[in-house]
Amino acid sequence: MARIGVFICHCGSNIAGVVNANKVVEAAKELPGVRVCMDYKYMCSDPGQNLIINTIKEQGLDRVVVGSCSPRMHENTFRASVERAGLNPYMLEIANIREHVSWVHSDNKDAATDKAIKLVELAVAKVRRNEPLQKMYADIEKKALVIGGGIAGIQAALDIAANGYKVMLVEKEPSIGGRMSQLDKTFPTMDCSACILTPKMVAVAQNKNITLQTYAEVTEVNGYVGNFEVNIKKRARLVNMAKCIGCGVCTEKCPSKKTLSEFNANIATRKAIYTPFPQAVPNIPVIDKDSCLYFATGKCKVCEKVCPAEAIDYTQEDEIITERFGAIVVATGYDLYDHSCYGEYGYGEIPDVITGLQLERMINSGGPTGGHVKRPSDGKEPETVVFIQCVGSRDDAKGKPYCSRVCCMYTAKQALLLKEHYPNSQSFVFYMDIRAAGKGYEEFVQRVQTEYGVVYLRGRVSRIYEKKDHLLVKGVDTLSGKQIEIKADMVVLATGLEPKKEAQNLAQLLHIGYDQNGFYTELHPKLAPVETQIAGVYLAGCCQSPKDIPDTVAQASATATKVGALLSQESLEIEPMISEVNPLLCSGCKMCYSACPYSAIEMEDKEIRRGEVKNVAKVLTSVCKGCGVCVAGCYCKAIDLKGWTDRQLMEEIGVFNYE
Amino acid sequence: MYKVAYFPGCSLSSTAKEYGMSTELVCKDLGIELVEIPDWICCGATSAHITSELMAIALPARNLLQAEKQNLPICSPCSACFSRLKLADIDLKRNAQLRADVAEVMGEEYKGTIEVLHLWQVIQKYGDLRTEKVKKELKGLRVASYYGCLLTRPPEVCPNERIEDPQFLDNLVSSLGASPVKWSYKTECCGAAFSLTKTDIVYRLSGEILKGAREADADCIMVACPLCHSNLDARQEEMGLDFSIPVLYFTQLIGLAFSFGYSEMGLRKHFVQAKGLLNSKGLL
Amino acid sequence: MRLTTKDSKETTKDSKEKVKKTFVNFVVKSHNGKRSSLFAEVDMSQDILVIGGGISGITTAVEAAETGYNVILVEKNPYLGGRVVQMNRYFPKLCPPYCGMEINLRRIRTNNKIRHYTLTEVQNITGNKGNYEVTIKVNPRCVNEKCTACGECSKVCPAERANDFNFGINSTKAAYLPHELAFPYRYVVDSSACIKCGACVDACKYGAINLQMQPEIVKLNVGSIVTATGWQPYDAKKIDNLGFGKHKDVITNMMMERLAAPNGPTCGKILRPSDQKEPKRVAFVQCAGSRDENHLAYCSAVCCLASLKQITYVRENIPDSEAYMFYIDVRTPGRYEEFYTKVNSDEKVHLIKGKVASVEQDGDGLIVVAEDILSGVKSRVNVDLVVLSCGMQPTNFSGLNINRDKNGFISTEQGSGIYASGVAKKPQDVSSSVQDATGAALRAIQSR
Repeated sequence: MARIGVFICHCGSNIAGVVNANKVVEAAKELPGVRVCMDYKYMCSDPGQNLIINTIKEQGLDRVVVGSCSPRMHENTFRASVERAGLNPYMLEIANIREHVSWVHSDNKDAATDKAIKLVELAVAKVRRNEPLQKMYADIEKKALVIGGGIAGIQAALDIAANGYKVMLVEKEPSIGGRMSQLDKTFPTMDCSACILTPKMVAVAQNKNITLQTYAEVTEVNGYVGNFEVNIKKRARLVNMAKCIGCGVCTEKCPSKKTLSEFNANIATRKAIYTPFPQAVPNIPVIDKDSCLYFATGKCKVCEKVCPAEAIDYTQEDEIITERFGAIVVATGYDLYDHSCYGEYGYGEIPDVITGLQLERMINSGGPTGGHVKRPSDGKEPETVVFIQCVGSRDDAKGKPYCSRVCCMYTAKQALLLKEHYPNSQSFVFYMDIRAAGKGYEEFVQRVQTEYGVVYLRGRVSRIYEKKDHLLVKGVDTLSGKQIEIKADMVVLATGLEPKKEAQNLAQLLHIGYDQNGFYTELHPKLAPVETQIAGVYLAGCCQSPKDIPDTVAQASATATKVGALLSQESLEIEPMISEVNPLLCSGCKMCYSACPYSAIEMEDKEIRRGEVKNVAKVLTSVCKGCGVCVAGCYCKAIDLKGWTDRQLMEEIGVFNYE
Repeated sequence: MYKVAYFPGCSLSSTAKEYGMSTELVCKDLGIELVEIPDWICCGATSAHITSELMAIALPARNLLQAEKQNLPICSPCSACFSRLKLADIDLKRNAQLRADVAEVMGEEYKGTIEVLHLWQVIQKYGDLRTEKVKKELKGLRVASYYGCLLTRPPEVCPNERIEDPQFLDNLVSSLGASPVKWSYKTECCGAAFSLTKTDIVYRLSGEILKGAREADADCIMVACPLCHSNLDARQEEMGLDFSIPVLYFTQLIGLAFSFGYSEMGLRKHFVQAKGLLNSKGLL
Repeated sequence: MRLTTKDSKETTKDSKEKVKKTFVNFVVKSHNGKRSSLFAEVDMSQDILVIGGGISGITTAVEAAETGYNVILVEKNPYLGGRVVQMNRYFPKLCPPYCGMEINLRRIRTNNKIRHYTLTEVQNITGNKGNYEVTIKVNPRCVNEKCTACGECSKVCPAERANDFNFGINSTKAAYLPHELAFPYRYVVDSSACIKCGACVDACKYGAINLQMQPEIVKLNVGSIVTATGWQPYDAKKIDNLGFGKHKDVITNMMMERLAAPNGPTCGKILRPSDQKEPKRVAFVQCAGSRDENHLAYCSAVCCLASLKQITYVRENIPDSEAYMFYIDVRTPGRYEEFYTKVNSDEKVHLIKGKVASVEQDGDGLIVVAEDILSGVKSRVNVDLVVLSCGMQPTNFSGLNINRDKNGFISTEQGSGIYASGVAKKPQDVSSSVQDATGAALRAIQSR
């Protein structure tokens, strides 16, 4: 007969505030096999664990049930306790009476207590059939993949490489650099964005541990922590990277010049063969097939003619490479919210209503206007500029419910820059709350108001009217309660941040989660802020939530630490809860073989009895994820999932038969 | 011949007689039969919904019911009437309790089987402004389409339309051969019923609309609502503007393109006469 | 890890020689790119010192240790966990910090690469990146590791001390357990409160108490240092107009955490200090000290969310209560916006934009005077309890040659061997601190 101990945790008031722990204890004492049952305020605490360990020893228990929070939180804690008491760590079951009971049934305490008792009963039933399991180990591919070559990806790649590990950095655009390379200055220190970014970009290019794949995308991910197998599609650049010397003659001579420049936020045009910006890494152009005359008409080939290095290759095709990695860092960044759904701001059709990023490109001395702010309609230098905050952010109706975190600060920065460039200019900022939470941020916004005379108006803009030579901005100042009309030369919208359009697709490839807004979800906001629910996949930067550059860099370094900790291990402990084939029962029907989503089943010839050889299924232990699909598919009941055996589950189901 | 249940509303026999005249002419020409709803009553207008919510739904519901009995889509040329009818229709479909209450009040239940349309929608849907109907293209006429506040709001009334910058009347202007102007005042408030009680507000609001149209180099303003028309047309002189601009119903513009006469369409009834403008463009 | 004692100057000289030798190796071999084998040979100190055992320090320590490096974690209090263990719940998920802290403590317990010192202060740091000499002072706990936390000492102890863990809301004996889930789980004798009567020594069955214990000076040799010294609440007494210290029912936000905590002085019942009654109307005063040039010029980054969180304590604990929050701007950046929207949708929660001018006594209640700047009306709100949302101030320490900005936050240069993590660096919430601290582990590893 089993000797089972049941331990019920109060979790402070989290469980005990709803579930009557006494009743659960009393009920559990009556269950078959249960020798002892007790409760405690925090079972996961030191005294709580000691209680479990001492009781196991004193009572000679051989199995344990803990009624507490989700096994996600503390299964490892209690397995370790059980192990310290001398038992096999898998002789433990957890009844989740917090997430599954107290947190969701706080409105009906009696029913919650009944449910908690039932869950404990099920766990007791299951644990009666638990078998000791042995931990298993897998090798680790000591190489990391970083997806996204913005500041987050760059920082992560550099940090991982500095730890001595090989890194592949994959970037979708022709150059790394990301959004930060489009910015003029960074708040609040007013460092030149390119000046602090480009050294890092060059460092990436020169680092022997880093392999750079630009103009490339991840298309398939298989495997698991320590052993990911990833397919990367390298889009055809149509320029031979080995031959190109980056002289730029091709771009200069290219006759197709009408395509809007993505890098310049569509305020300027670019050629069909182009590098996004002068400091691009790698400094090798790409041919955009869609705007190339040769691909449209079959004629032109000017670039080929002028190239001194014979690097142009119109025949190049997309190529897929397959690589193995031990860890993956996702740093795909953000897009800006498309404001064309806002009628009050002119549906994106008023030329002099621009976005913050467009202003950023104008005010940048390396930008298409050479650092001169010229309003798009007539090229006039604007004197009165209205900034509107929260365009797309904090707006349930048309935009996104969340706050984009950086807009208050980048607007303050832009207002300051405008005043510095044009001392006669006057800026107004319509805001909801000034969110300047960060080191030196509050002080910065204060300075913008007092020293630079930027007028902050708390309220929304109701409408922008297009007049002959100006814009009439109508809004409300909720502090004075007055309606405001401003004759403005230009309006700058602080458009919010949203995840990249392709982010969800990538999430599905990686099997990581994302929230209703498309941001990737971290495993736990406090305990595991850069991990995902897929071990070995980490998050950095704005793909996880909107954040500024300092926070992005901090998070990227954090992922590098995580990757380092993972790759430094000799081998990786993996859960023993995987499938097992009983070759005696196996009929060799291959049902499991075709059902397995992870290709973890192999067929092999095996000698069952002396002289009798049979073709049977075999589980590849390092590949099996323990999903159980093969078990469900097996006609002969030849496969069982360790830790979740039929015997265990039938015992649980049996609990309901008693009624 | 398309048949619709016609709900003219109170203005069309008083201040907006010319809207009614032009509507009838144009519809006849387009092959749309307007079947006036027998025994129609007030739509509730601006007063009902501030006194009783039930009343505000029940009044238009009865008109809807009458149309439903004839099994015809209901059509109103007035934006305010249209808005009341459409909102009642939406609310009754959404809210079963309200439907029961209203049925109790009326003694009969409105089942919500008919379409509720504004006149422009009927013309767009059934009228087909084919080029052969347009006998005289309104070439060179710059028209500022003024939608007012009720034609596109609340958004449910007008799905798939840009609420702050609607396009459907502008498209209609284009199909008549005239040029729609791009301007920012399409859906601004004209002052509406303050016309009589707080005239100064109407002067300011309607004045801004008129100036906006002028600034956009419009020759005339086109409207689809009797109240908008009276605010924009009748008060221009009192506003002390340094210009005047004719305000026409969209049916009158269609009528012009169909070669109906100036008086026939009641154009003489407007305070700001369009004759000079139309003559100068060679459209009369 | 190597500990060198006071008398072993020889060792230092010796290690200098070794460094010289290996430096030559370093230069030569690094050209061959044999980085990993190199580190094994370099005899510079590999160890990392983390100053401060709060959530940031713990995170840096475990992350570095799990990557395979020796870490020394030094904490001033008799327990690890810092400010986080004083919290009742975290925003925005409202789960108890204890639960996650336990996971981190487990990582410390099961990792033999971390050595931690409690009741310990850093006295001096000399040397350079890769080779720091650090002097630490381990204050006497007067209780050794034989302690089983049975509590007999506390029962017989006649002396009392204010309970600093609960911000002085209640008191403990001089022999006390810092809090019921303290790590290490051992009692402490507060030497300043102890009257040396010896009753505890007699009561202890395990011979765990030694009242004669003396401070111990320990010298450490480490390669890099991470300061995670965290924060202290801004002293509310300095803000005259808000009446803290004058009116009993004006408390700080950290006191509110303790009042709401099940292991707090009131066992989780929110009772106001003056008469131990449930407050029905509670005012939260934002930016108490923060965003004010007379006090803290900066924004403390977490107080808006902390108050919104505490509003949920009040509303949950006392169903017929109402909460008022006076704010300048509601700063709930990023995804926290949803938490703000959720709390604000409760009709018993009133958010008023305006800075509080004063808090006045009115009978047995209080009046909060503020201008509601949206309506332009000067409002006087009668409440039972006022909670000051006090800002975060970097923990003060002196005598160490660590750069700090004008507000006291640590500013370190990249590439130096000394780094900061968490709130010691800038005001930030737990989530950002943990990210920052994880990154700091990497910096520390790379610069040994």
